Amino acid sequence: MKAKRLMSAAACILAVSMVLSSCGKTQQPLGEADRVTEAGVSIFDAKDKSKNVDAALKREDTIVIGTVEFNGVFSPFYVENQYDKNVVDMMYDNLFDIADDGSMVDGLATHKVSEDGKTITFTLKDVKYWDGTPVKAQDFVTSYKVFADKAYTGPSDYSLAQIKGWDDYYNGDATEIAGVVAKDDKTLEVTVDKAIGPTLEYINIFPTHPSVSYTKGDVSGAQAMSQNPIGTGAYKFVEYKEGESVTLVANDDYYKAAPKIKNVILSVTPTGKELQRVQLGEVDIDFPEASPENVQAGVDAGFIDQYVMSNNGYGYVGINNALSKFDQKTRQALLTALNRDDINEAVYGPYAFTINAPVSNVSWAYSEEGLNKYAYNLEEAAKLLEEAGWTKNSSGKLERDGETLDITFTGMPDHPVLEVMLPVMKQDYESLGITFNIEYTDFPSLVDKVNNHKAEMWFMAWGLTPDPDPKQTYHSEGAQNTYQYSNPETDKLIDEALEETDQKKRKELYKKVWQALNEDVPCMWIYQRCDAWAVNSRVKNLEMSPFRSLFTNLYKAELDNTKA
Amino acid sequence: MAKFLVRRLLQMIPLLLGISIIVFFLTAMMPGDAVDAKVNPNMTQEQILHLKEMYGLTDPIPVRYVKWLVNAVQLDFGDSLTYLKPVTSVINDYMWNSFILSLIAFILQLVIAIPIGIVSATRQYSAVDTAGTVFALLGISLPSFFLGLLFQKIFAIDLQWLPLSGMSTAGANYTGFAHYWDVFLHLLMPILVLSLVSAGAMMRYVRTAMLEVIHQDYIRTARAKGLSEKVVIYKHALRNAMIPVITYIGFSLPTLFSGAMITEKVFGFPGIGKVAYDAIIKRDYPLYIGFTMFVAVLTLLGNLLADILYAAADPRIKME
Amino acid sequence: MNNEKQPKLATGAAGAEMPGRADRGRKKRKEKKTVVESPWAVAFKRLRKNKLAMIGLIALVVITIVCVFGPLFSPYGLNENNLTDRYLSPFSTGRSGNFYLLGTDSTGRDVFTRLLYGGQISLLVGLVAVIIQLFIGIILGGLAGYYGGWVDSIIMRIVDIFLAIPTFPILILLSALMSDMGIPAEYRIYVVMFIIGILSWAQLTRFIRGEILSLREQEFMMATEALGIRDRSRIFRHLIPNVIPQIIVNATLGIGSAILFESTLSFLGLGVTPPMATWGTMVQAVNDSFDFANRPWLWLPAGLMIFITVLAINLLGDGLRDAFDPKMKK
Repeated sequence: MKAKRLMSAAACILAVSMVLSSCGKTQQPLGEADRVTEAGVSIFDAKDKSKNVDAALKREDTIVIGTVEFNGVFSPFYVENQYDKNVVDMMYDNLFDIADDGSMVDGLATHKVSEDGKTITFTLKDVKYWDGTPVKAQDFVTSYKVFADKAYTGPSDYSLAQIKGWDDYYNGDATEIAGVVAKDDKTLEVTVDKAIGPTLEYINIFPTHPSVSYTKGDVSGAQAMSQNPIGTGAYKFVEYKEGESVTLVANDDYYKAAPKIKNVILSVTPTGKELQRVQLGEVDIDFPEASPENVQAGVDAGFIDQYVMSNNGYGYVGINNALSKFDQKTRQALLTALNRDDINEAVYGPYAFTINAPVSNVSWAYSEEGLNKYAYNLEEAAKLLEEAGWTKNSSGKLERDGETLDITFTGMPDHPVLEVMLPVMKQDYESLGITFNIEYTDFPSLVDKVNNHKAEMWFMAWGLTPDPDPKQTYHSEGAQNTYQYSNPETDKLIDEALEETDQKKRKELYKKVWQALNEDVPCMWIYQRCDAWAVNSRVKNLEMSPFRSLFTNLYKAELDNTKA
Repeated sequence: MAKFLVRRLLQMIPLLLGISIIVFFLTAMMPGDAVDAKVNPNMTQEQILHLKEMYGLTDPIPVRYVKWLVNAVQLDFGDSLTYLKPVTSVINDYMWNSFILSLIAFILQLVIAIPIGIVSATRQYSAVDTAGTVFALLGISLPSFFLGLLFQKIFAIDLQWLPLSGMSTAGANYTGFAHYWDVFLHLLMPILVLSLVSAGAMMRYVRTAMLEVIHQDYIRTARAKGLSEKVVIYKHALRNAMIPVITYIGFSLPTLFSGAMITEKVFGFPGIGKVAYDAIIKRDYPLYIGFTMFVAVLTLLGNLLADILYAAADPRIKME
Repeated sequence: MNNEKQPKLATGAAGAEMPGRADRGRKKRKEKKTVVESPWAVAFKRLRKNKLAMIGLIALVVITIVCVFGPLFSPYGLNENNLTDRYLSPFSTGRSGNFYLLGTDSTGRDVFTRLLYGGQISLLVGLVAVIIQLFIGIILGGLAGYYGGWVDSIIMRIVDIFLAIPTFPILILLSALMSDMGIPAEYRIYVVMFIIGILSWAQLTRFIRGEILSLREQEFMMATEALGIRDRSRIFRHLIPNVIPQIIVNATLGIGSAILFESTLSFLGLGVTPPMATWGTMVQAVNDSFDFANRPWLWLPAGLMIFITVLAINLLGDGLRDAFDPKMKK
């Protein structure tokens, strides 16, 4: 389902932490990965390349990559669906690129930050659009203006960057954004009201070709870019067959290097058939569910390389903290009664692990220091419940102040984790004296119920951005704090960590944030999964990281069509 | 007949209006809306609210209905919230794929079901009848995705005779005849699945109807007159047995255009069925309502067609 | 060999004999008795003699009994998870020492026990949905076809509306409503059965009405009119029995699809929730390529049960159809 597939751009895994809790470190029978890249991707090399299929080898200069679906929205302003985004990533470049470790490095420009940290000056490199027009600083100004326009209805929210004059443009009559100035054709100056940790990430943007029409209040030109894309990217748009495939061709004048593979096609794969399509040679790369069976089948095929890496996100069970029955001790007890390790093992085998804080293990801010592991222990849980004031009444049910502990869990059908977790949860919780009811709804109904705070307990997953800041989700003023968690101490820690600009200092501050959240258990963190890519071994030099899809650096990949 | 037609067509107008009100309200009242469905951990409340306003989701439902209706009568069904282009354009993109699939499957279904149904009836309890019955029951007791998955496994994965999914081979750049052949190979399995699954039901209806008719006196009379068995069956019996088949055909008209969601999902076929289902899941109201109204029109027309055909099949039926 | 002149079975009120009635031959055989049997009784007698139909009936009864009482004899519960005994194949013994007749599923639960519990719900769903559908469909279809004119018009327009309205939004709304009202998940399936029946009567009504439009013009109906038989009688005792074959076909198909439809509903949050099982949801295991190919015990038993049930109903239905037809050579 959608939640489990939310992927996002960026961040990195340090090799050390990877060894401790990494994907690809399998037990039997696959054994250790053959190699682990700097970005923390484990690769199982193909063992018998002679088994490669002609259907794939025939496509000498074309690579076909499987995908889930297309909405056909290829405008960089409006792209929403992550699969449309893969196409956009190949066609458009930004000021900054995302490095393997999730930090921002120079992309289309080099940059200098002022003393007070509030002004960033970009010097543009020599880059041209596909039609030969050179990229100018003014082009970036146009992009910012579209995002700041009140008529803009897309998913990006640049207001988080706190650029000077943003609000005047959005709500007022300003025709320019005060904080965005094109000093000359090659120099762009961006000024923010307040410099925070993620500032560079938040101001990252792409240039808009001068032919795209834009006047304040009229964003139709930006929308039309779906049908008429024009960018600076490594691959140029050729054709979109509705619901079927997208075809792109190499931009030989790409500013970094000419792509080695001439044609790229993204082809829709029906769910569940990803591995089969690679085995048949219909596609060269696809993205099956990271399960032991799939990884094994890929290895068995002989000519498939398996790339396994951590997904930048986590699955959790939300709890409505505002309900009196869910006080801190009770929440801790519920977490202790949840057999997360066995459930994760049952569903994903070695390809998921239990987490105890809302941070991805691929982030630079990851730390396990001082965290309670809440290991599965029913007796411990019973004790905690007792300490919280719950006692068993005459019918064996837990009761406190005249009310029994009833929990209604709202879930979505057709989710592999819930299939295993819910029956186990029900059995364990009821053995403790809790009445556990399960109801199902479809996804938007669930979101609606959760947003209106009508759900007691539910399951969802977050896909994260490179920056580890959890303000929106765990701060009492956070827009996505659907569990209604509120602790002024934690708020302070989160704000402090957000405003610190030195990454080393931030990392220390985040340790405290994770410890605070781990103690409070606002929601029950279940797993962080791995993603697995099945790649035909003829594809070489494929680069990917948990924070940056393989599409961004696809220009570096090449095809070796020999059966060796 | 002309008066009948005109009367029915005029009746369609208030009907469609009523249907549009019901459909609109039902769709708009579903919990969660298009913005909710896009859940994004970094969207601020202001942005969420702003988006809802821009999409018109904060107006009260009756207001939204009137706005929609005013545009709908001018055949403007708004823009899809997922595809960000006009609803009519989205439907047009996907519908014809489904139509081709469904039409061929439907014809195939008739070609299979009617003869087998007839033979089943004329030779009741024979081997053909038993085989036909078992086959039909298999079709209705197993979910349609089962047959699709089975075919995929056998023909695409194990035997590798046919392609696994989609409508054409990516990266092959076929032109001319090779292209049509490629598309044909891709359509083969979905068509077979669709027709086999429904052929069973139609076959049962044909068989039962024929059994009723075959034992009637006028059939005995026809035989006594010395007419060949073939003429007796196909000219005299079949006509009267067609009533339930016609009813069934009437239902099938809208399905020709509304796509087969499950089969399309299994074969990754770019059809309107999955698009419509996704529209519900993502609460893409303009798209879903536009599509439903289109299917509603076809449903009404389908029943009208069936009613006309009844009179043609059985002249004793009087349509008042 | 029967000698009736009437093309169809004409039922008369007790005592009123119609020329050429079905049991004239029977009367000849049983010289002593002059009792008049209603055609319904005649039909049921003939049904008993139909071997296949009896097999179907017995199969249905056995399945029902086993599903209802079987779980009492099983050492396993519906939701006994055992994560060490996952995905065991049939006839195997797990690490815990337990023996599993049909193997275990993804959380180590006994497939056989769940199959039985699942049958309870599936059978009930099929039955309730179809009964409601039949009830509404027969009445409205009969009225519409018989009276024609504006009665037909109104009823058919209502049918049109029901056919045109998409069912998914209704079901999603229903799910949300029940969720808001706090109805426990176990009871929701019953509400759903009811709703399935109500949403599907429209098709059956069209079938019945179509048939009746044709039937009412036939001679035997003119005879009933000449005899001055009441409308209600004419519809329900003369016309409807002749539509029974179609009804039976429809009911057979309907039960199978209702059982399967229930599993589709789970995608919308309306079907059963864990830990409950139904045959429909167990068959869904087929969607996972690996389970489909390598773990057939997860879905094959449930699929087989649905098939056997539908087959049994069908044999019984065929038998009923034949029993009601006076022209059968048997």
